[in-house]
Amino acid sequence: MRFETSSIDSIVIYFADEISEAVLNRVTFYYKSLKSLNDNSFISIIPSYTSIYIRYDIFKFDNKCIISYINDKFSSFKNDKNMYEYQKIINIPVYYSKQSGLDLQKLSDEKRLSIDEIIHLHSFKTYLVYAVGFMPGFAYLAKVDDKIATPRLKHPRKMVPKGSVGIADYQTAVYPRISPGGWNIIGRTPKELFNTNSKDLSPFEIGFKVKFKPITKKEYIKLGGKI
Amino acid sequence: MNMFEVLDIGVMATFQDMGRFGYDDIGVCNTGASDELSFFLANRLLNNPQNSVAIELTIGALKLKVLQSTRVCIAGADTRAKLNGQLLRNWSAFRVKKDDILEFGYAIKGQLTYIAVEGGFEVKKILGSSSASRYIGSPIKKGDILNAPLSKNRQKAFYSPKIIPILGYKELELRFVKGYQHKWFDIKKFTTSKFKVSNRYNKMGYQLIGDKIIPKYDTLISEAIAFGAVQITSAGQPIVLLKDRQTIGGYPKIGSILPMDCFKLSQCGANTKITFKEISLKKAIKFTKNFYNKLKGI
Repeated sequence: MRFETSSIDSIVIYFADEISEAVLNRVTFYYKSLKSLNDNSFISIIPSYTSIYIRYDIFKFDNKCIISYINDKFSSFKNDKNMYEYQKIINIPVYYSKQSGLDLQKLSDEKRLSIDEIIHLHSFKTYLVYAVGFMPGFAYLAKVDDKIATPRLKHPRKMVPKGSVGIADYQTAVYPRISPGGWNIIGRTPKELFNTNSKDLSPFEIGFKVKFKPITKKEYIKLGGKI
Repeated sequence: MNMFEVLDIGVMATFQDMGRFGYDDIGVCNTGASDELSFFLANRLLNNPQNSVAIELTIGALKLKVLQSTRVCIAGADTRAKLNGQLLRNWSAFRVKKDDILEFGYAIKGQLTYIAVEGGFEVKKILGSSSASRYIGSPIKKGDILNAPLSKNRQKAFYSPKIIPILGYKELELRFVKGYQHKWFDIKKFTTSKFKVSNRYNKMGYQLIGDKIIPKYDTLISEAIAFGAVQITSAGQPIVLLKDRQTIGGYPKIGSILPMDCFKLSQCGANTKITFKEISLKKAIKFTKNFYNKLKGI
């Protein structure tokens, strides 16, 4: 574990230099334990892949005190091995098609796979949420099958439709809102992924498991999806 | 109470308070007033609570019709504001009456003007804040009716020139503390380089142009971005991340500038000359605490 200053009132705790499921589990554990303290000395706690960022109140701590304060908290947390076992699986219905998946045909040509094979490879795996950010409710999910991993578009789109499911390298994600973006779009979900009127703002949280479920156009429309 | 009707609007006006906290772990940025100092002074002169909602007007141009008598304070960028055609003093609080026309021209010094009303604007809170960001809330539109509580106070008020910050910087030195991936950079080169504000700047961040600063490595695992963080793009150009920044990102960062310098930067337009000065974390924290302690005394 390595502490680094990030600004006058924040630090980043690095748990490793490489991404892995084991590191994600540690990040998730410490993040959830810290968050559950409801300690108002922490203004922000943001986990991401291999790190946790903490913004703190400089009127309560200096840079050295905060590190020992966090270390004390960390050593008081009891690691609950079952925590990951019971982690929820979030199901995301996806209408995969050339119509909703703007890059599905391109991916099929590049990877020499049929569209059905791509859909199968993408929806067969269970993914883990490695980070939530960039925009509200945008979850970085990994890891996609080698056969369909593909770099970002050379020229990002000015507008990616809301609900679009994309691939960038070994990651996959859903755009909760209309947005500019460079991910390869293979389908669209009708599921609302960020809603300030709902108690559960976003279905995603770091460490959660996610599975995509192929649906037909009819089901997509029935669930409120728009073409 | 219906207080103003928006007759016309130029580029952009939003409601802002001190920001939205506690949801940045699911991608919701803090946002809030970009120039906290001018925002604070606008509310303070009306004796409003510190977190009262004010209008953040970007580069000026706004026309309001007054629907009820109240008191207004203007602070920040000078827009040559007029009340029924009569020029108003910037950094002052004054009475407005029913059917008055309050008009703001384009900003001549600075970028952001704060318009506060006695008691603060009444705006629906979303996730604990009335601040509009790219994803939450929406900008003020022509035809909108703006609400605020009734006010009986008629007192005019001004700030002494000592308190008023000088906006419209031609050049600005940004003090920063080393942090994040600072070991990936030649700090000396960075602090001796000259930059200027490009035409890509907004509430999210300021992209600078100038000498190329190339990090030793170019791939970074995405991580959270602090207020004032200086990230370096793959083209070697710094971007200073401000209130409406994305919560996480994958560009390497050399450190972060002080909050007070972020507020100053938010008032700068294209071509403002920028340099960076490294200061110790200890000094930076001391300066920041002094700044906020001084505000409490105003």
